[in-house]
Amino acid sequence: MKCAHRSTADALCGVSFVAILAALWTGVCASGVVPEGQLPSPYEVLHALIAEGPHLGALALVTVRRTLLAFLLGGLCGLGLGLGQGVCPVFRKTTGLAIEGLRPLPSVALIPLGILLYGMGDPLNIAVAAFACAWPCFISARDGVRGVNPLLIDTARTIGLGRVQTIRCVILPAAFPAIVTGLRIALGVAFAVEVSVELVIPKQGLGALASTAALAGESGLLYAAILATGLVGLLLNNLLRWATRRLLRPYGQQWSSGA
Amino acid sequence: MISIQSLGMTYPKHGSLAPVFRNLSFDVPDGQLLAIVGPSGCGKTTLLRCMAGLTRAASGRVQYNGVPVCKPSPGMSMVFQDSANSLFPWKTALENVVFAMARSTASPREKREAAQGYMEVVGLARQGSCYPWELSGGMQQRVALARALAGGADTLLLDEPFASLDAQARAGLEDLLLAMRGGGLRTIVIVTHDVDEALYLSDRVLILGGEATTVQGDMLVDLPHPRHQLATRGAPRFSEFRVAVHRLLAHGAGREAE
Repeated sequence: MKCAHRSTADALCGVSFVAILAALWTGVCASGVVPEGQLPSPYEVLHALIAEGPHLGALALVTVRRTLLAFLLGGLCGLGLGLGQGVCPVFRKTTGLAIEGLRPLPSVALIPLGILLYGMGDPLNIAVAAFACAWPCFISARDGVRGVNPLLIDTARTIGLGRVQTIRCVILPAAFPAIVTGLRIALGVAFAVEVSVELVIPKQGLGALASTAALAGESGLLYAAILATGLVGLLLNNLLRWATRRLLRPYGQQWSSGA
Repeated sequence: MISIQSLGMTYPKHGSLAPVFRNLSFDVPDGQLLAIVGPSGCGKTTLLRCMAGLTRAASGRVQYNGVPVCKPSPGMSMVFQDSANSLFPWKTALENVVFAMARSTASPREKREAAQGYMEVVGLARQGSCYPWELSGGMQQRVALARALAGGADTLLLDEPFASLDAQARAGLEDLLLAMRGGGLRTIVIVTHDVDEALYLSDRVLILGGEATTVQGDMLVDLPHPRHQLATRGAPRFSEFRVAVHRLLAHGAGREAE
């Protein structure tokens, strides 16, 4: 009960602060310090948000769908490469140079190549965002596996486990918390890159809406689009945080309580 | 029986190989509780790892029941100094013990029952469902012991198993270890830097020391069984042994005992 009280109080604090910010915002709009058309009032933004609600929702779904597909694709590739490099030194030596050479490439620099390969459609967005989010997965899987406490591996050896069994029963579970943390970062990256690709190539999605609204000078809609993007990001992050906490519960406080 | 034959180990130092220990030879007969004492850094842990088949020696060889040891042998179990990090944190205490039977063909249910039995032996009958990080250091060490027993080992290698424990927990575990000998059916090799602990537990103490570690002394400890924390440690004979071991350690360090 005490805990519930505290979280209600925390939430109240947070909400009141947001309310104060909104009041300040309204004040700034009314004072006329900012030229008209650059900063709509919270009321106008809210109005746009409600009026365009269904449209925004549909576009948000497009963005989320692309983000999740990119996350899936990039995550699988990143995890595959990372686990491969972690458990197999020969694989690490062979692929190391190629992967390290590719990694510093900013994902948005791949947009022109994507246009050439896929034209302007979903595959372009997904490929670019997947490229970006593969790296956090790769690093966390590789370093997670290599960072497994050698005592656990020694223990597996004394128990008499073979190489494959050791990887399956000891190395992968031991590296799991690090891998999950990498996945969480990767989802954020996938979302951010997805929105930036939409900004550059305004074909559907929340980023595209923001881009076109800015060009058309519809400031209310622009702010509504930004707000919606933020909300979607928050939702994705919270969803994954919840899943992470559940998955890592057996690993103890140090992993499952992380923000 | 474990047989160590002119075992040597080196480590890289200033671009060349410096010896950790050299020319170690001794046998551990079945059923003996051997304590190995020596200053820190003398290679006690490395020696134990060589016996366990986890580390390959630079020269010489280890034989277990006549078979050369080059990988961990079934029948031999090792308990590491840092038990908090050798237990699988994602498994409960009981699951950790069950996991030691990974290669056994018994049914999962039989394994759980056996594991529960070992948890009872180490006095943790009711902590089976706890995760290692929910247990105290002493309890974690007990789980590690239960896991070593569950592997069906007739030889236990223990690396400073009680070093990080408070005196109370330590005394309890020392007596547990004596009880675990199973009436002399198990061979136990324990590495420690605590001379009193070595004498209290063992049938025989091997003293290591010197610039490049060699055997400084090999002593049969004929203190009567069953041992008792107060009576055994208070006996005049115990003090005599203690003085003798400290002399040998001091000699190994190149100084006279005060």
